[in-house]
Amino acid sequence: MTEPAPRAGRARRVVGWIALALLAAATAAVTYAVVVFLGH
Amino acid sequence: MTATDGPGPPARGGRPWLRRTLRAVIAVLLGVLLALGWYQVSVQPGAAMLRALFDSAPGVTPPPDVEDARAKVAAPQTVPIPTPDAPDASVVVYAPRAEGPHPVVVWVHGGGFVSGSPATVEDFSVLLASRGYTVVSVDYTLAPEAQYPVPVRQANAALGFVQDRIGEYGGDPARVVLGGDSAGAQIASQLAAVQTNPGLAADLGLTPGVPADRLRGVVLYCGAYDLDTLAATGFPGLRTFLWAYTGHRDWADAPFADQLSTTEQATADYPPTYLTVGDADPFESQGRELATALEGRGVPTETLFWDEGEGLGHEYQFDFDRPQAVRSFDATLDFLEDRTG
Repeated sequence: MTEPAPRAGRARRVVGWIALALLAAATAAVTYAVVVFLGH
Repeated sequence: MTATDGPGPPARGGRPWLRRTLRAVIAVLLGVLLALGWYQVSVQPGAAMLRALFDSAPGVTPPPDVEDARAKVAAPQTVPIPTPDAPDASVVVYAPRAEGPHPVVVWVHGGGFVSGSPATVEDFSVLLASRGYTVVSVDYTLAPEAQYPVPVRQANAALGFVQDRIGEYGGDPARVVLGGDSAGAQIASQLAAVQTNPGLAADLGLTPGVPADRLRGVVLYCGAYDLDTLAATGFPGLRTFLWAYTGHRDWADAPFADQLSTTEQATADYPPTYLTVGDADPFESQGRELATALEGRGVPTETLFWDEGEGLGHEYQFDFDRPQAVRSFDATLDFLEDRTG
Protein backbone atom coordinates (compact mmCIF):
# COMPACT_ATOMS: atom_id res chain seq x y z
CA MET A 1 0.00 0.00 0.00
CA THR A 2 3.00 2.33 0.29
CA GLU A 3 4.20 1.70 -3.35
CA PRO A 4 2.19 4.27 -5.34
CA ALA A 5 3.68 7.35 -3.71
CA PRO A 6 7.40 6.66 -4.56
CA ARG A 7 6.40 5.52 -8.03
CA ALA A 8 4.57 8.75 -8.67
CA GLY A 9 7.54 10.73 -7.45
CA ARG A 10 9.93 8.80 -9.70
CA ALA A 11 7.67 9.28 -12.70
CA ARG A 12 7.50 12.98 -12.02
CA ARG A 13 11.29 13.18 -11.86
CA VAL A 14 11.66 11.34 -15.17
CA VAL A 15 9.17 13.65 -16.80
CA GLY A 16 11.10 16.58 -15.37
CA TRP A 17 14.42 15.43 -16.81
CA ILE A 18 12.84 14.75 -20.19
CA ALA A 19 11.38 18.24 -20.16
CA LEU A 20 14.79 19.70 -19.37
CA ALA A 21 16.41 17.72 -22.17
CA LEU A 22 13.74 18.90 -24.59
CA LEU A 23 14.24 22.46 -23.48
CA ALA A 24 18.00 22.19 -24.07
CA ALA A 25 17.47 20.60 -27.50
CA ALA A 26 14.91 23.19 -28.57
CA THR A 27 17.18 26.00 -27.41
CA ALA A 28 20.09 24.47 -29.33
CA ALA A 29 18.02 24.16 -32.51
CA VAL A 30 16.69 27.70 -32.37
CA THR A 31 20.08 29.16 -31.48
CA TYR A 32 21.73 27.21 -34.28
CA ALA A 33 19.20 28.41 -36.83
CA VAL A 34 19.70 32.00 -35.70
CA VAL A 35 23.50 31.90 -35.86
CA VAL A 36 23.44 30.17 -39.26
CA PHE A 37 21.04 32.79 -40.58
CA LEU A 38 22.96 35.73 -39.15
CA GLY A 39 26.48 34.41 -39.53
CA HIS A 40 28.73 35.98 -42.10
CA MET B 1 6.40 23.58 -18.28
CA THR B 2 9.88 22.81 -17.05
CA ALA B 3 9.82 25.32 -14.28
CA THR B 4 6.84 23.63 -12.72
CA ASP B 5 7.44 19.97 -13.61
CA GLY B 6 11.21 19.74 -13.21
CA PRO B 7 12.94 16.84 -11.59
CA GLY B 8 14.08 16.66 -8.02
CA PRO B 9 12.84 15.50 -4.70
CA PRO B 10 9.26 16.61 -4.34
CA ALA B 11 9.49 18.26 -0.98
CA ARG B 12 12.90 18.91 0.44
CA GLY B 13 11.90 22.16 1.92
CA GLY B 14 13.43 25.43 0.74
CA ARG B 15 12.24 26.84 -2.59
CA PRO B 16 11.46 24.15 -5.17
CA TRP B 17 10.43 26.75 -7.75
CA LEU B 18 13.90 28.31 -7.51
CA ARG B 19 15.59 24.94 -8.00
CA ARG B 20 13.44 24.21 -11.02
CA THR B 21 14.02 27.60 -12.53
CA LEU B 22 17.77 27.21 -12.11
CA ARG B 23 17.68 23.85 -13.83
CA ALA B 24 15.72 25.36 -16.72
CA VAL B 25 18.24 28.17 -17.05
CA ILE B 26 21.10 25.67 -17.07
CA ALA B 27 19.31 23.65 -19.77
CA VAL B 28 18.92 26.78 -21.89
CA LEU B 29 22.58 27.68 -21.43
CA LEU B 30 23.64 24.16 -22.36
CA GLY B 31 21.49 24.41 -25.48
CA VAL B 32 23.11 27.70 -26.48
CA LEU B 33 26.60 26.30 -25.90
CA LEU B 34 25.79 23.17 -27.86
CA ALA B 35 24.53 25.24 -30.80
CA LEU B 36 27.54 27.56 -30.81
CA GLY B 37 29.94 24.63 -30.63
CA TRP B 38 28.13 22.83 -33.40
CA TYR B 39 28.27 25.97 -35.53
CA GLN B 40 32.05 26.02 -35.22
CA VAL B 41 32.60 22.35 -35.92
CA SER B 42 30.50 21.41 -38.94
CA VAL B 43 28.94 23.15 -41.91
CA GLN B 44 26.75 20.19 -42.84
CA PRO B 45 23.68 20.89 -40.66
CA GLY B 46 23.60 24.56 -41.57
CA ALA B 47 23.95 23.82 -45.26
CA ALA B 48 21.18 21.23 -45.03
CA MET B 49 18.97 23.71 -43.21
CA LEU B 50 19.52 26.45 -45.78
CA ARG B 51 19.02 23.99 -48.62
CA ALA B 52 15.67 22.95 -47.17
CA LEU B 53 14.71 26.60 -46.73
CA PHE B 54 15.61 27.46 -50.33
CA ASP B 55 13.98 24.37 -51.74
CA SER B 56 10.70 25.28 -50.07
CA ALA B 57 10.52 28.61 -51.91
CA PRO B 58 9.55 29.00 -55.58
CA GLY B 59 12.56 29.76 -57.77
CA VAL B 60 10.62 31.77 -60.33
CA THR B 61 7.19 33.34 -60.17
CA PRO B 62 6.43 33.25 -63.88
CA PRO B 63 4.35 35.69 -65.90
CA PRO B 64 0.83 34.61 -66.90
CA ASP B 65 1.89 33.75 -70.45
CA VAL B 66 4.53 31.20 -69.45
CA GLU B 67 2.48 28.33 -70.90
CA ASP B 68 2.38 30.09 -74.26
CA ALA B 69 6.15 30.37 -74.00
CA ARG B 70 6.45 26.68 -73.13
CA ALA B 71 4.60 25.76 -76.29
CA LYS B 72 7.40 27.36 -78.29
CA VAL B 73 10.11 25.31 -76.61
CA ALA B 74 11.02 21.66 -77.09
CA ALA B 75 10.94 19.37 -74.06
CA PRO B 76 14.00 19.96 -71.87
CA GLN B 77 16.80 17.47 -72.45
CA THR B 78 19.20 16.46 -69.72
CA VAL B 79 22.62 15.79 -71.21
CA PRO B 80 25.53 14.33 -69.22
CA ILE B 81 28.75 15.98 -70.37
CA PRO B 82 31.54 14.25 -68.44
CA THR B 83 35.05 15.55 -68.96
CA PRO B 84 38.33 14.63 -67.24
CA ASP B 85 38.06 17.96 -65.40
CA ALA B 86 34.44 17.47 -64.42
CA PRO B 87 33.28 13.84 -64.53
CA ASP B 88 29.85 14.63 -63.06
CA ALA B 89 29.07 17.58 -65.33
CA SER B 90 25.58 17.73 -66.75
CA VAL B 91 23.36 20.28 -68.47
CA VAL B 92 19.70 20.71 -69.32
CA VAL B 93 19.03 22.09 -72.79
CA TYR B 94 15.97 24.20 -73.58
CA ALA B 95 15.77 24.55 -77.36
CA PRO B 96 13.35 26.74 -79.29
CA ARG B 97 11.05 24.78 -81.60
CA ALA B 98 11.71 27.36 -84.33
CA GLU B 99 14.46 26.46 -86.75
CA GLY B 100 17.95 27.62 -85.75
CA PRO B 101 20.73 28.27 -85.46
CA HIS B 102 19.95 30.24 -82.33
CA PRO B 103 22.30 32.18 -80.07
CA VAL B 104 23.13 30.25 -76.93
CA VAL B 105 22.68 31.33 -73.33
CA VAL B 106 24.57 29.25 -70.78
CA TRP B 107 22.88 29.82 -67.40
CA VAL B 108 24.22 29.01 -63.96
CA HIS B 109 21.49 28.83 -61.31
CA GLY B 110 21.70 30.31 -57.84
CA GLY B 111 20.98 28.85 -54.43
CA GLY B 112 23.91 29.84 -52.25
CA PHE B 113 26.06 27.07 -53.78
CA VAL B 114 24.17 24.60 -51.57
CA SER B 115 20.81 24.34 -53.30
CA GLY B 116 18.95 24.82 -56.56
CA SER B 117 19.06 23.11 -59.92
CA PRO B 118 18.10 23.85 -63.53
CA ALA B 119 14.53 23.03 -62.45
CA THR B 120 14.59 25.95 -60.02
CA VAL B 121 14.99 28.39 -62.91
CA GLU B 122 13.16 26.36 -65.53
CA ASP B 123 10.44 28.94 -66.18
CA PHE B 124 13.11 31.58 -66.77
CA SER B 125 14.96 29.26 -69.15
CA VAL B 126 11.70 28.57 -70.99
CA LEU B 127 10.99 32.29 -71.32
CA LEU B 128 14.44 32.88 -72.80
CA ALA B 129 14.14 29.90 -75.13
CA SER B 130 10.73 31.09 -76.32
CA ARG B 131 12.44 34.30 -77.42
CA GLY B 132 14.81 32.41 -79.69
CA TYR B 133 17.75 31.44 -77.47
CA THR B 134 19.01 27.93 -76.95
CA VAL B 135 19.43 27.79 -73.19
CA VAL B 136 21.99 25.49 -71.62
CA SER B 137 21.32 25.31 -67.89
CA VAL B 138 24.27 24.01 -65.91
CA ASP B 139 23.44 21.27 -63.40
CA TYR B 140 26.51 21.67 -61.23
CA THR B 141 27.15 19.61 -58.11
CA LEU B 142 26.09 21.40 -54.94
CA ALA B 143 28.20 22.20 -51.90
CA PRO B 144 29.28 20.90 -49.51
CA GLU B 145 29.19 17.60 -51.41
CA ALA B 146 31.34 19.27 -54.08
CA GLN B 147 33.45 22.30 -53.37
CA TYR B 148 35.28 24.98 -55.29
CA PRO B 149 36.38 24.78 -58.04
CA VAL B 150 34.23 21.81 -59.05
CA PRO B 151 31.19 23.91 -60.12
CA VAL B 152 33.48 26.23 -62.13
CA ARG B 153 34.98 23.22 -63.90
CA GLN B 154 31.51 21.84 -64.60
CA ALA B 155 30.31 25.17 -66.00
CA ASN B 156 33.45 25.33 -68.13
CA ALA B 157 32.60 21.85 -69.40
CA ALA B 158 29.18 23.23 -70.36
CA LEU B 159 30.91 25.87 -72.50
CA GLY B 160 32.94 23.10 -74.11
CA PHE B 161 29.74 21.16 -74.76
CA VAL B 162 28.31 24.23 -76.49
CA GLN B 163 31.35 24.42 -78.74
CA ASP B 164 31.28 20.73 -79.62
CA ARG B 165 27.63 19.73 -79.72
CA ILE B 166 25.14 22.58 -79.47
CA GLY B 167 24.53 22.39 -83.21
CA GLU B 168 22.61 19.16 -82.51
CA TYR B 169 20.15 21.26 -80.51
CA GLY B 170 19.81 24.11 -82.97
CA GLY B 171 22.31 26.38 -81.23
CA ASP B 172 25.05 28.52 -82.73
CA PRO B 173 28.41 27.95 -80.98
CA ALA B 174 29.77 31.24 -82.34
CA ARG B 175 27.23 33.32 -80.39
CA VAL B 176 27.39 32.47 -76.72
CA VAL B 177 26.33 34.47 -73.68
CA LEU B 178 27.11 33.32 -70.17
CA GLY B 179 24.86 34.24 -67.28
CA GLY B 180 23.74 33.38 -63.80
CA ASP B 181 21.86 34.49 -60.74
CA SER B 182 23.10 34.91 -57.17
CA ALA B 183 25.70 32.20 -56.46
CA GLY B 184 25.36 31.27 -60.12
CA ALA B 185 26.27 34.85 -61.03
CA GLN B 186 29.44 34.50 -58.98
CA ILE B 187 30.32 31.29 -60.82
CA ALA B 188 29.39 32.73 -64.22
CA SER B 189 31.28 35.97 -63.64
CA GLN B 190 34.38 34.06 -62.59
CA LEU B 191 34.06 31.67 -65.50
CA ALA B 192 33.90 34.62 -67.89
CA ALA B 193 37.14 35.81 -66.32
CA VAL B 194 38.64 32.34 -66.86
CA GLN B 195 37.87 32.67 -70.58
CA THR B 196 39.58 36.04 -70.85
CA ASN B 197 42.29 36.02 -68.17
CA PRO B 198 45.00 33.44 -69.01
CA GLY B 199 46.57 33.82 -65.57
CA LEU B 200 43.34 32.82 -63.82
CA ALA B 201 42.81 29.93 -66.23
CA ALA B 202 46.34 28.73 -65.49
CA ASP B 203 45.81 29.04 -61.74
CA LEU B 204 42.73 26.86 -62.06
CA GLY B 205 44.37 24.49 -64.52
CA LEU B 206 41.52 25.06 -66.94
CA THR B 207 41.46 25.33 -70.69
CA PRO B 208 38.80 27.92 -71.53
CA GLY B 209 35.72 26.15 -72.82
CA VAL B 210 34.92 28.78 -75.45
CA PRO B 211 37.16 31.02 -77.58
CA ALA B 212 36.99 34.55 -76.21
CA ASP B 213 35.63 35.98 -79.46
CA ARG B 214 32.66 33.62 -79.29
CA LEU B 215 31.72 34.63 -75.77
CA ARG B 216 29.64 37.63 -76.70
CA GLY B 217 28.49 38.78 -73.31
CA VAL B 218 27.76 38.11 -69.68
CA VAL B 219 24.43 38.53 -67.84
CA LEU B 220 24.67 38.79 -64.06
CA TYR B 221 21.75 38.92 -61.63
CA CYS B 222 22.43 39.79 -58.00
CA GLY B 223 25.74 38.03 -57.54
CA ALA B 224 28.73 38.30 -55.21
CA TYR B 225 31.87 39.52 -56.90
CA ASP B 226 34.34 40.78 -54.30
CA LEU B 227 35.28 38.55 -51.38
CA ASP B 228 37.11 41.38 -49.63
CA THR B 229 33.88 43.30 -49.11
CA LEU B 230 31.42 40.43 -49.12
CA ALA B 231 31.12 39.94 -45.35
CA ALA B 232 30.11 43.57 -44.96
CA THR B 233 26.97 42.93 -47.00
CA GLY B 234 25.53 40.99 -44.08
CA PHE B 235 23.84 38.60 -46.46
CA PRO B 236 21.89 36.03 -44.39
CA GLY B 237 23.64 32.69 -44.13
CA LEU B 238 26.72 33.94 -45.93
CA ARG B 239 29.22 32.18 -43.67
CA THR B 240 27.53 28.83 -44.15
CA PHE B 241 27.24 29.26 -47.92
CA LEU B 242 30.89 30.22 -48.33
CA TRP B 243 32.17 27.65 -45.85
CA ALA B 244 30.26 24.95 -47.70
CA TYR B 245 31.55 26.15 -51.07
CA THR B 246 35.17 26.87 -50.22
CA GLY B 247 35.65 24.19 -47.57
CA HIS B 248 37.16 26.85 -45.33
CA ARG B 249 35.36 27.97 -42.19
CA ASP B 250 37.17 31.29 -42.47
CA TRP B 251 36.30 31.54 -46.13
CA ALA B 252 37.82 34.98 -46.68
CA ASP B 253 41.20 33.48 -45.80
CA ALA B 254 40.95 30.59 -48.23
CA PRO B 255 44.18 30.39 -50.25
CA PHE B 256 42.23 30.81 -53.48
CA ALA B 257 39.98 33.64 -52.23
CA ASP B 258 41.40 36.06 -54.80
CA GLN B 259 40.34 33.77 -57.63
CA LEU B 260 36.71 34.15 -56.55
CA SER B 261 36.73 37.95 -56.74
CA THR B 262 35.72 38.87 -60.27
CA THR B 263 36.41 42.49 -59.37
CA GLU B 264 40.08 41.46 -59.30
CA GLN B 265 40.13 38.86 -62.05
CA ALA B 266 38.26 40.70 -64.80
CA THR B 267 40.62 42.24 -67.31
CA ALA B 268 40.07 44.71 -70.14
CA ASP B 269 39.25 41.67 -72.29
CA TYR B 270 36.27 40.73 -70.13
CA PRO B 271 33.13 40.32 -72.27
CA PRO B 272 30.51 43.07 -72.41
CA THR B 273 28.34 42.72 -69.37
CA TYR B 274 24.78 43.37 -68.25
CA LEU B 275 24.33 43.63 -64.49
CA THR B 276 21.26 44.10 -62.36
CA VAL B 277 20.49 43.88 -58.65
CA GLY B 278 17.63 45.10 -56.46
CA ASP B 279 17.88 48.17 -54.26
CA ALA B 280 16.95 46.14 -51.16
CA ASP B 281 19.29 43.27 -51.99
CA PRO B 282 22.26 42.97 -49.60
CA PHE B 283 24.37 42.31 -52.69
CA GLU B 284 23.54 45.66 -54.27
CA SER B 285 26.95 47.02 -53.32
CA GLN B 286 28.58 43.97 -54.92
CA GLY B 287 26.86 44.68 -58.23
CA ARG B 288 27.84 48.31 -58.14
CA GLU B 289 31.42 47.39 -57.27
CA LEU B 290 31.75 45.06 -60.23
CA ALA B 291 30.15 47.58 -62.57
CA THR B 292 32.64 50.21 -61.42
CA ALA B 293 35.56 47.81 -61.83
CA LEU B 294 34.50 46.78 -65.33
CA GLU B 295 33.85 50.33 -66.48
CA GLY B 296 37.24 51.32 -65.09
CA ARG B 297 38.86 48.71 -67.31
CA GLY B 298 36.94 49.84 -70.37
CA VAL B 299 34.60 46.84 -70.51
CA PRO B 300 31.25 47.77 -72.08
CA THR B 301 28.88 47.52 -69.13
CA GLU B 302 25.12 47.95 -68.98
CA THR B 303 23.45 48.18 -65.62
CA LEU B 304 19.97 48.20 -64.20
CA PHE B 305 20.13 49.54 -60.67
CA TRP B 306 17.17 50.93 -58.78
CA ASP B 307 16.59 53.95 -56.61
CA GLU B 308 16.25 53.30 -52.94
CA GLY B 309 12.65 52.70 -51.95
CA GLU B 310 11.66 50.26 -54.67
CA GLY B 311 12.02 47.47 -52.15
CA LEU B 312 13.48 45.00 -54.64
CA GLY B 313 15.12 42.16 -52.76
CA HIS B 314 17.38 39.33 -53.75
CA GLU B 315 16.36 37.60 -57.00
CA TYR B 316 13.69 40.21 -57.73
CA GLN B 317 14.39 39.42 -61.38
CA PHE B 318 12.44 36.17 -61.11
CA ASP B 319 9.31 37.58 -59.50
CA PHE B 320 7.33 38.36 -62.63
CA ASP B 321 4.43 39.65 -60.56
CA ARG B 322 6.58 42.77 -60.23
CA PRO B 323 6.78 45.17 -63.17
CA GLN B 324 10.45 45.71 -62.32
CA ALA B 325 11.14 42.05 -63.06
CA VAL B 326 9.48 42.43 -66.44
CA ARG B 327 11.65 45.46 -67.09
CA SER B 328 14.75 43.54 -66.05
CA PHE B 329 13.82 40.70 -68.38
CA ASP B 330 13.22 43.12 -71.26
CA ALA B 331 16.60 44.74 -70.60
CA THR B 332 18.16 41.29 -70.63
CA LEU B 333 16.56 40.55 -74.00
CA ASP B 334 17.77 43.88 -75.37
CA PHE B 335 21.30 43.10 -74.23
CA LEU B 336 21.17 39.60 -75.72
CA GLU B 337 19.87 40.98 -79.00
CA ASP B 338 22.60 43.62 -79.10
CA ARG B 339 25.32 41.08 -78.36
CA THR B 340 24.17 38.20 -80.54
CA GLY B 341 21.86 39.65 -83.18
